[in-house]
Amino acid sequence: MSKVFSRTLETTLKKISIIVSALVGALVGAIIISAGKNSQGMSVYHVLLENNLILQHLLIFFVINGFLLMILTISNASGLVASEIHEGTFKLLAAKPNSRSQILLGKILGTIAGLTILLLVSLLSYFSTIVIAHRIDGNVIREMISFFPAYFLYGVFVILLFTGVATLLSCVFKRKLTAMLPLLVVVVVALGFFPIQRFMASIRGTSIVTAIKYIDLNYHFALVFKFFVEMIETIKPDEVLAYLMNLFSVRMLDSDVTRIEWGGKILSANDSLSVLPVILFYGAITVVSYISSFAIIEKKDI
Amino acid sequence: MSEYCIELENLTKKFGKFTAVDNFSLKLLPGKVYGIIGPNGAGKSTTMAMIMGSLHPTSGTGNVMGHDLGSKEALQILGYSPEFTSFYDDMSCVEYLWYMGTLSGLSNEEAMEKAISLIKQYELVDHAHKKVAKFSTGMKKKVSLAQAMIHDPKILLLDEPTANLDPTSRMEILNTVRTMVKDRNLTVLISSHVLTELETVIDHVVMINHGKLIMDEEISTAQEKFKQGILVVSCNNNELLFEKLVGKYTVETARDSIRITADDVNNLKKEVVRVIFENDLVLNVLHEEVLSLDLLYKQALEGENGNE
Repeated sequence: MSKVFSRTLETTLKKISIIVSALVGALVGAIIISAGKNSQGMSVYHVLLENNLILQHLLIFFVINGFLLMILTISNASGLVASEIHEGTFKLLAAKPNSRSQILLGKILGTIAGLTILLLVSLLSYFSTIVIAHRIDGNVIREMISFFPAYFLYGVFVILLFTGVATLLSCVFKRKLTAMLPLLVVVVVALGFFPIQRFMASIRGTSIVTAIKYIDLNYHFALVFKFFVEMIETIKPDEVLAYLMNLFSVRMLDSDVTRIEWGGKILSANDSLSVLPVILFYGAITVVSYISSFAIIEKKDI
Repeated sequence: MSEYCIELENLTKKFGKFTAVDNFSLKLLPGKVYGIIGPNGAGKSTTMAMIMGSLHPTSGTGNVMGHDLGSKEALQILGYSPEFTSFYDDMSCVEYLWYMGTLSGLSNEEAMEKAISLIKQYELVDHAHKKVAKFSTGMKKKVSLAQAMIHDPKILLLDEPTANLDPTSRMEILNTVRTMVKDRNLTVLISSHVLTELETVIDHVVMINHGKLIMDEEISTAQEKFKQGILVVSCNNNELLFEKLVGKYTVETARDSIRITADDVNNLKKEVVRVIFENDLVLNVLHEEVLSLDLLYKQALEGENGNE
């Protein structure tokens, strides 16, 4: 198992993945710095403090722990079994005196370890960019970096969940692409469709949709993200977070007003769902996915 | 403990409605080379895959030296080279063999030592650090054989080891197999379409058609059972010999000889010698035709198809 672990870790940490992770981290850092510079002479740190680090939270949620981490996870985990079976290499792995579960366990652990390192690379690249590119205001930098454990833990949650489901799909389907597609749809829906739909609804003047709370994947992930972030510091109500992550409800001060205006409204936490059941639900999906993967691989014809 | 090293009992494998292997039973004795032959889709590879545990039988059981098919203990005893071997794009020959060695339970040092030894044995030294995925088909087959041997298995399963190879590479692979069998007293189950070459290696023939076992014999026994009583004769005047025998026997002319078929070969031999003597001919060749694996295959298959 240890050899399969090392081999999988090695393939997960491909040069290109490390470079992309570092570049994306640096790019997010550059966006933060750029946002600061464009703010009428205020330093980036003042801007960040003023908006309670909303921009940092958003970019980490959507870019580093979002598209980057999810796509890296799906891309690696979907091929764990499907690619090897399709290409014929799994037949010889299974012909050696190891149980298939041992092989799969080595692959899963290797993937999780590799992705965790890529997550660290990306986050460290982000923080390094901010620290290196600007003169350091110690207090602000400390506050920004203080969220590192929260971002890391949420990233690990994403890695465990997506690796579990992708591994299961990889055990079920014969091709990596087929195993990848359902999860890519999930990413697009969670990080693209729901936030855009909510934003468009707000422009049209309709209220933010909470009726679909059970299928609003964006809201579910945002709740978990908020849970980890608020271990460090409470997120203050923010309109952008209301539209893009559904974390806050926008309520009109005047009930006769049907069109949302930028003024005249109050924000309150969107507590349509509690975070604990959401975490338990996705935790259960993760556990069931891993258990099912082991059961399937043992019975699968190769 | 059983005297057999592999025992398969009533193995059946179905893929949907298609039955690839049908109630197949077989027992292999240790130290022998078994050739498994049959047409495309007969179930040869499926049978091997079930022995390896890659495919799970729909019904039936089997064991390898008393261990369940596909168990770790069984896999420790078996070495397997599939018909189509795929390699990792990023691994060199030595890296690949080392990796397969470590997966077989060898320590890092043992696996490297074994990999280097096999690379030398299979004359791959010049290519040891090149990517296996870019090797020629013949070299890939050698690497596939080497990985099957990396943990010194007692039983070797070779699925079409000479498929898609040029004649030189085929001879190289078969020589390698011969050497392995001789040096290590291995039990080998080998499938191939090139029957003329296979018969130089095997001492037992297992024939399979439509997933069913139709022959399981020592090759000499099978040849005896299916032989037709054909005498091959050549003398200094084959035309005259032909004229004297035609009508009494079924006689065919070949390039430098004539082939005579008779129910009683001993009487035929006497008759041929009498004709030679009486006509003052010089006898060059006189022997009973040995049934080649090729002909054996055709006859057994024709018999099987005729019975359907």
